[in-house]
This record gives sequence, C-alpha cells and structure tokens, in this order.
Amino acid sequence: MKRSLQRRLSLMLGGAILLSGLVAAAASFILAYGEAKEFQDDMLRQTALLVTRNIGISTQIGARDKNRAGVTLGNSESRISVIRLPSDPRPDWLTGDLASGFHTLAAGGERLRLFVRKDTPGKTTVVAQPTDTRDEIAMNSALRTLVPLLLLLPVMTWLIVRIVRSELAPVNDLTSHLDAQPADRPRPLSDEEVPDEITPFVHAINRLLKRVSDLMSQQRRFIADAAHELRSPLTALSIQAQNLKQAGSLENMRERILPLQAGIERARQLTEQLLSLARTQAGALETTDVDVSTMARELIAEYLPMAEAKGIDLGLDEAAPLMLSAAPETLRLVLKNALENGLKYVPEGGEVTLRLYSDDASAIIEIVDNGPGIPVSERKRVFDPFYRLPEATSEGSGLGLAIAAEASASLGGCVSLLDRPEGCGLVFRYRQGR
Amino acid sequence: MRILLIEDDRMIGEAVSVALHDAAYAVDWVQDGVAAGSTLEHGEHQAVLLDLGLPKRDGLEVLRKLRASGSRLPVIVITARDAVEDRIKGLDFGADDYLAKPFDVNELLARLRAIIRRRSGQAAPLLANGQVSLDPATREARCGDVVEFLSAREFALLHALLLRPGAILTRAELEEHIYGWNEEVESNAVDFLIHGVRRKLGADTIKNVRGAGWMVEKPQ
Repeated sequence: MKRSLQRRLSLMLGGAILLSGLVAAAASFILAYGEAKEFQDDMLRQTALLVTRNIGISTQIGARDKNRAGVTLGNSESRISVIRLPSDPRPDWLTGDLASGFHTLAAGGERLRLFVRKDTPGKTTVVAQPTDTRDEIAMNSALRTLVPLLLLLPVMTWLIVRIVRSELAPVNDLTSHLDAQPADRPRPLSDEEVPDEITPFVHAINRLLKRVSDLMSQQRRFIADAAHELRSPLTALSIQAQNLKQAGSLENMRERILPLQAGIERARQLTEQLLSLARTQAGALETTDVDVSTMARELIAEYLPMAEAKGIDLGLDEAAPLMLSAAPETLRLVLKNALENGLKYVPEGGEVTLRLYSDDASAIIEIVDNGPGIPVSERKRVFDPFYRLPEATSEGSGLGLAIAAEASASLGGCVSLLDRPEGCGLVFRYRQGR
Repeated sequence: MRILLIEDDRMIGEAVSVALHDAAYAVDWVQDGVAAGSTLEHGEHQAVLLDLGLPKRDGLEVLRKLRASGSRLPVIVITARDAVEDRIKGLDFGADDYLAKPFDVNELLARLRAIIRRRSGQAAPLLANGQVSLDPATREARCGDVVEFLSAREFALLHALLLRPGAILTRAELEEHIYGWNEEVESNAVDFLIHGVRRKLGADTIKNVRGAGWMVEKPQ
C-alpha cells in the first residue's frame, strides 16, 4: 500500500497534538475540579466556624427566612444553608446522627455537601451547599483551558502541514530533478541542500545512475562499432557491384565477380557473428552432459580444410575423455571462435592444437598455437567487441574473442589468454568448474 | 591524375582502386597511417582519399600533419564515422570533403572531380583553354565541332595538361600523372598517347616544345 509521508506526518503530528491537548484539558479539568472542591469545603468549614463564634451574624441572616429549616446564606446560586441543632428544625435530608467533618448526601433532586461541627455536647452546626455550583466552577475552569486549545488547533494544523511540506521539499525537488533527466544521459543528483537522512539515498541513486549510464555507453559503443563494421562490407559490396557494371569484357566481368563474392561472404560472416553474440547475450541455453572429446573431433574435422589450405597442422591432444555439463551450442561457440582465431593468425606452416585435460577442480580446454601471440598489455582488451590489435592486418571483425568470452560467461566458465610455455605462441584457455 | 588512397580495409581498398582505375585515375594505395604519412611527404599525388580508422596512426592525425606541413593537397575523407561531430572534426582538420560509408562510388568520383577542379582554380565542370574542352565526368573531349571519347590514359594526359594550360610538362611529370606505383610504364607511352589525342582532336591541340616537354595553350 502506498503511503504518503507528508500526509502521515501531518496526521500523526496533528493527532499527537490533539491527543495531548485532550489529556491536558482532562487533567486541568480534574485539577480544577479538585481545587474547587477543596476551596468550597474550606468555605463551608469557615462558615461553620463563623456561625458558631458569632451568633449575631447567624441570627441576622437567619431572620430572613425563618420558616425554612436553618439559615440560608447569600444569593440563590451559592445557597449555603446553616442549620444549628437542636435550636433549628431538622430538615428531611438530615437523617441520623452525623459525625463531625464533611459529608455528601442526596437531598431530593440534588446533591449536597455538608460540614458538621459539634461544639458542645448536644449542639451541632451543619453547613450545607449543593454540589452543582462546585461542578459548574470546575467545568468553567476546565473549559477555559480547552477553548484556547481548540482555537489553536486549526492554526497548528496549518502550521504542521506547512512545516512538513517545506521539510519534504528537497525530496520533491529531487523528484522533479530526476524527472527532468534525459533518459540516455542521466546526470548525477546533487546532494547539496538535501537532509542528512536522504543523502545516502541520493548517493545510492547516483551509483545506480552511474551503472546505468556505463551500461548504456557500452551499448552505444557496441552499436556504433557494429554499424561501423557493417558499413565496411556494405561499402565494398556497393563499389564492387558498381565495378562489375563498368567491366568492359566478359572476362573482366568474371574477374570482378570474385571480389564481389568475397564481399558477400564477409558480410554473411559478420552478420552471423553479430547474431551469435546477440544470442549469447540474450541468455543461456539448456544444459546437458557434453562429450567434449567428440565435440573437439567434430570441430577439427570441420576446420581441417581451412587448416590444410593454409598448411597449418591442426591436431588434438587429449589426456583422457572429457565430459562437461554445458549448453552444447554455447560451448561449441566458445571453441569455434577460439579455433578460428588460431587458424586466422597462425602463419602458414604453423601448428594449432586443441588440448583437453582436467585438474581436481575443473575441466580445461585449450587452443594452443605457435603464432605471433598477443602482448600481455592487450590480452584483456582483445575480448572487447570489435577490438583488433593495432598491427592486425587480417580482415577479422574483432568479434570472435568477444563472442567466446560472452558465451563462456553464460556457461559459468572463464576464458583467458596465456603465453605458450613451449615458446612463441598463444594459449587460449577455457576453464569450467565441475 | 594520381590519387593516393589511404584505406586499411583490403576489400574496400581493392574495390575503390578498381573504380578509380575505371575512371582513368592512377591509384596508389597504402593501408596504414604511417605509410600514408611518408607517402604524402613525396607529394606525388593530386588528391587523397583518406579513411579515418587506420592502424598505427589515425587518419585525422595524418590529415593534421599534412595540413601542418602547408600542403594544399585536396583531401576527401571516406569513413564509417558518420556522426555530425566527426564530420565537423574532419572538415576542421583540413579535409576538403567528407563522405560517409557506405557511399556510392559515382558520388565519390563526382566529389573527386569537384575538389580537383576547385583546387586548380576552376569552378566550371569543363576543363577548357578556349581551344579544347574536356568533361571529366564523361571523358569527352571537344575541339571545334569534333567530339571524341578519350581512353582512360589519353584522358589522364589531356587532363594533366589542361589543369595547367600554358605550362610545359615534362615526360616524367606526365608519366607520374598517368601511372600508379604498380603499373609498368611502357616506353614511348607518352608519345603514343599524344599521338592518339592529336589524331582524335587535331594536331595543334597539344604543342611539343623540343627538349622541354608538352603543353596546351593558355586561354586567350
């Protein structure tokens, strides 16, 4: 479920403020209530004391309302009643013999708070007041706390939304910055003015952008190189066709057909190589147990005519029959390209050997030649697509080793180039763990 | 007319050589930047077709060095690098023209004719001195009412003379225009060709200055 951080922050902060406001209001209500209670109890006690000491006041006050039980002090709201027993008539609600101190009773429809004071034996002063007043005072006090809080709430909400929004603004800026990036050449995001908590996130995005842009430039380079490579045979073909048209005689025409055919063959080979590279990059094929010894013999048979045409001694050096778990077509692609390379670069009268052996950990297939070799400094680069040695004069596309490397990677093996221990020449080694 | 072709791709090099030959140019072909540099120092050629992606030394570097040495030799870059930046770079390094692969060979020949005639100070497609005119596109020569189609070598000879009317060219200079490195120069070849041209267009088209060489007359 998607969650808006901004909305959540606003809601949580607003909720927290509302909740704590309510708790504060409740606490202040309770405190105000307790305060009012104490204050009024105090008042009742003092009234009782005054009434006891000064009968005159009591009489004066009591004179107003003689027909009712006891004396009622003050206006109707405070309604404090003073009853002196046994001289005053005992009201209905004053039942039994009450001990000295405070009491709360129900009297008809209302609740009363009493203070009972026993002066001398038999004489008792009772001061009573309805609890309504006390509750009202407490309520008013609590409301006074609540009202400013309630007034503040919309202001707080507005402030919270503003603050949250402004604090999250860098995130929005990053979003719009990312949106504005061109897809083909994304620039890294700036981590200036970004909160510390978001900086690692920005750095992670930048690292990802870097990887993506590296991959893209690699792809772009591959496409540019592929276009370049495709253009060469096309150019040759178009000129050769033109030359054929210009041929004056039939014999001349026959002569000119040969390079045209060679051009077509070259375009075909290049297309095939590009396709097999694309296929190996697309993914691995199904793995089975491959009899490498048989495959090696098939490959040697396939390339023998090419080797013989160049006077190259092509052979197999097999320690023991070799089995390998691999996708047969992919493995064949590795060996085929290495073998073709060997045959292409070994001078006439040279030697190319397919060598199969294994050690404890892995199976090893080598293509050993006694050609000019490849300088150590170039051995990594020759696996790049379309890379050719600066002094290479052969018409290779520079794809062979790239295909071999790509195919071996998809088999889970690895390829390397080594010096031939026996002297000049190169060892192409494919190693795959068992 | 001798052209230096600098191209590392064997197939393209061969095909362009054949096409240039068919169009009556003498072609010398080198396959890497270093060989191109040392060949250019001799100044035997009238135009250069230069590929950029060369082994040993890049084509742009070859071009830069050529221009740094003060050479005004017409250069057409022929390359598979077709991005706008590459074209701009090529032209700014001193190329006269830029042709991206794959190109049409007829277009290459037309551009070659254009830069050669421009470099010789002419804008009109026909080379003429008021007496004879020569169309490099068709190899047709006209003298008065006579219109003749010249053979490749006859054309090359008359072309060399018409590029510099009024100047005397020696036998060696004429041979250099007509033959490439790998072609065997037949003895009396120049005399034979001059005879052919005179037969087709009239004896006074090409003047022989005894002991010095040959020339066509300056336009009046």
